[in-house]
Amino acid sequence: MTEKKPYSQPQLFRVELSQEQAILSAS
Amino acid sequence: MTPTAIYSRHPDYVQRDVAGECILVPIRRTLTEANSIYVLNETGAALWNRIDGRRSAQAIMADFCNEYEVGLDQLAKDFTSLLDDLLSIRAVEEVAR
Repeated sequence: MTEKKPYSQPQLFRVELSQEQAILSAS
Repeated sequence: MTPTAIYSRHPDYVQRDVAGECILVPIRRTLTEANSIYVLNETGAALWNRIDGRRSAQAIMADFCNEYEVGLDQLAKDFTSLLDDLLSIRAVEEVAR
């Protein structure tokens, strides 16, 4: 039996981009 | 979260894996989400990747418990919280109950 991975609380983080970064990502 | 509910990932979000991080980028931005991207930690990404529009929340949790050291009760609380976050940014939607 394979060993299970350690658990941590699943989380979603929000990252604010600058206007220029947002335009470039919107690649 | 209803255990039998089925969720699917919204096509308005694109997933990118960069330097070990799972990043969600909205591709049709509204004012509420302008200039934001979202990052999931490892367990968050593991759950996100199991959301496929076919498996119920219960089935996803059972599968997840086989891989991670966590009890179903704890996971149910945490998955509910994550789903609330994902629903709030419209990255997932409930397709069946």
